Amino acid sequence: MARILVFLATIAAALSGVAALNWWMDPLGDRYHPRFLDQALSQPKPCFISWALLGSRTWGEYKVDLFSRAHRDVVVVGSSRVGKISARPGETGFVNLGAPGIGADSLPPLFERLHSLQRGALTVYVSVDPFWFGKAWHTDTNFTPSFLRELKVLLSAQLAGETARLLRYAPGAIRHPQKLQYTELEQTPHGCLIDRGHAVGNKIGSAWAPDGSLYFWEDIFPNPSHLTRGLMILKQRGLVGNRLSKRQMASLARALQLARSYGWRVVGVSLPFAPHSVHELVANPAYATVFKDFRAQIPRVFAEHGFPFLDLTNIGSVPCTAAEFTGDDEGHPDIACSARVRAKLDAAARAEPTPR
Amino acid sequence: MLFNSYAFLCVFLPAVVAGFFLLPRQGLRVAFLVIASYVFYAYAQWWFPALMIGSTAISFTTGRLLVAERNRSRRKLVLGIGVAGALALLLYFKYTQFAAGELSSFVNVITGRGLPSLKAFTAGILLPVGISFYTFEAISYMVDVYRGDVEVERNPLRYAFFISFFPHLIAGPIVRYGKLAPQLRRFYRFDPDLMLSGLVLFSLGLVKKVVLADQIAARTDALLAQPGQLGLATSWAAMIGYAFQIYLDFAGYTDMALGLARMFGIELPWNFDRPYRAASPREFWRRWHVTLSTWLRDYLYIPLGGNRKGPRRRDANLLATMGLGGLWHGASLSFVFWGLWHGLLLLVQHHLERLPIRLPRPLAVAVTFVLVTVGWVFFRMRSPGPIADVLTAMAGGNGIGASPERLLLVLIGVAAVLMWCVPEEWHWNLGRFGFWRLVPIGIATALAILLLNDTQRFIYFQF
Repeated sequence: MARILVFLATIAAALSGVAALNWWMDPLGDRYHPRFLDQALSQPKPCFISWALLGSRTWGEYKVDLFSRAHRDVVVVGSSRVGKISARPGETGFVNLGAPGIGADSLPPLFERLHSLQRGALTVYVSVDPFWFGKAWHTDTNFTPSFLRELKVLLSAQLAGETARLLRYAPGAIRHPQKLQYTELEQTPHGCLIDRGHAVGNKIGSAWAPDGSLYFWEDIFPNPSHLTRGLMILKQRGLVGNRLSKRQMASLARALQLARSYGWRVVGVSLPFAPHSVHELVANPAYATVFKDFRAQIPRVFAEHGFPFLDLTNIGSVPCTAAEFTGDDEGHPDIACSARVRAKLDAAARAEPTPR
Repeated sequence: MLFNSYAFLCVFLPAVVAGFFLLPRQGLRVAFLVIASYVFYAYAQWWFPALMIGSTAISFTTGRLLVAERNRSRRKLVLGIGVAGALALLLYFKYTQFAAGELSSFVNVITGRGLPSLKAFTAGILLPVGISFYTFEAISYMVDVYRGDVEVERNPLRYAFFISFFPHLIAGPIVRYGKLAPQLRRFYRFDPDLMLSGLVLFSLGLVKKVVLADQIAARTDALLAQPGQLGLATSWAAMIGYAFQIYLDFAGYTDMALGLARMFGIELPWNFDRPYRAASPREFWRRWHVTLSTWLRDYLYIPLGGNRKGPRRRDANLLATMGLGGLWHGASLSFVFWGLWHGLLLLVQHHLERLPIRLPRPLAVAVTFVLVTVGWVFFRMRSPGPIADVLTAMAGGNGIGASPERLLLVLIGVAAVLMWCVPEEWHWNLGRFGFWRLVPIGIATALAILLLNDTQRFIYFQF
């Protein structure tokens, strides 16, 4: 029996050691540090926060923290495609809670947290994407802490490899890991940027604006030569399937049910794709079923809960032009197009009766 | 549910082991493990257990009918119906799509358009994991009862245990009822040495799979993704890497299965014995997937006449057995070619044995390894173009080309040392291992757990 215990204890000790070291060193910035947001909000000018400071696993926590910093009237949630929907000048009640990797199953826990932080009226723009409903979609951004999820991350070989690499180049970092969390304040054409290692300027990452909207490196440091757009190849994988994912549909319905019970005003929206992408999504049999069902069924789900839905898939319905997209694909409306989308959403919200 | 998944390691296994030892009677334990095995199977698809119940019911009922019937021809008929019933499930789920595809291609040649509606209908058929394994187990039981080699099982629960026991359910080893039945009748008292042996064997299997097979796979997959780009060096590195990968993957799974069964006091048959130590194709099949090769021998090759009806008939029987053995692996002509390749090797060996030439053993081992590795090209690449590309590269048709990645060579080196210098793990007296051996194995297991996020499915799950 003693040898069984020794064997199991060896495994447990080795795993605990690796997990503790990964947690202590946090080489990928997987632990959320609110001080970056404090620093950004304390600047006199609008100040962006680089992704180099906020690892993708912290985005959920960051967005919830951002929401809690002021009284909010209007929020937008969705994938990176809502990234450019931003506050109007001087508007403090708006926050963009969108982030890459959000799916329909991110929404119920997010809504529960928002409601726990702020009771009362709230207008929520829910941007729903077709690729959430294919069989290969995987939601990466979560809004509720999970011990098991954290443990799985801490026990990954990839993180252990990053920790080992860090310690190889900077062995002293093991004593002062917080010194790895230094920041630089850079001036940009829009205001300022809190970054590390000039990551955004070096085209490594993007940055969050003070209202939570998402800016790519070329939005912050404009470079007219960067125009290599292609189809949303990665996202299209999420569109493969022969029916809408039941799990994601149930999550969406649950989120809308929660919103109704909280007395929120909700407007659903499907954001524009460039015409070339829409044509591909309609014509390619691998994606066509999910895309067609999405356009037919999602407005109905919103209607069943008493909420309007704007199908802005075609650029003409906003209207935007085929050139008004940003990033490396044809799925991210740029600032000008997003401002028009926001105006449409505001108008739809105003047309809705005030919820009880 | 994969053995190499958090759900299995952190929830299913601890719960089942704890539940098993808390139950005071053998009957309850058997029932508990049957339920757990069905839950395990349902984790893949909720309706898979219904299929297994069907196969179990067919073979159990056939066994009962066989002992009740005295008339020889009627017994034959009962056996035929039982075997056909078990095979019908396998044929429908595993081979309908393949047959429809081939038929459609054939019709296409004649009429200019295939059978799109038939292809579309069969495209939706999902292959239930493990069906090839438990169908063969069910057939072996029916034939053994017919032959009088085993006592018929009258307890449906014990029989359901034989078919469904989760350690061997998905990818073997293919268990014979005669070996398992006596172990189900005695109450197993907790034995720390046997539990330790099971834990360590399971852990070593996990290490083989996750630390070696998957790491080799990450590198060989990258090379074999572009077979037209391979040179002599990279093609051989990729295929030797694949030869070790498939061994470590499948033998790792089998070690895990044997280790799991030991935790419940059950000894499953071993399946591998360092197969690349074989000095001939025949010896290879005595070391590789042994429970399949003995099944094919006992239930196919010998009933076909084996070597009792002259050399020509023996050669034909060998080719038929190995071709069907290849087809058992997957519904694809490339598996049939792989089987026929091995059939041809066995046949050539039979004929060469009449010559007074004997190769020194190390040379014979090397030649056998090379021939087996060439066979893996059919197994791995699946379609004619890529198969031709890899064989051309291996023959030097594309020149020597670039050097393979150093880490791939290191991993192949480690696998080679394991293959030729260390005995297969089930030989080890694991229950007597002391602290100085347990600690490094524990650390290697921790490393395997760290790598679980990047792990791949077992290759044999698809069969």
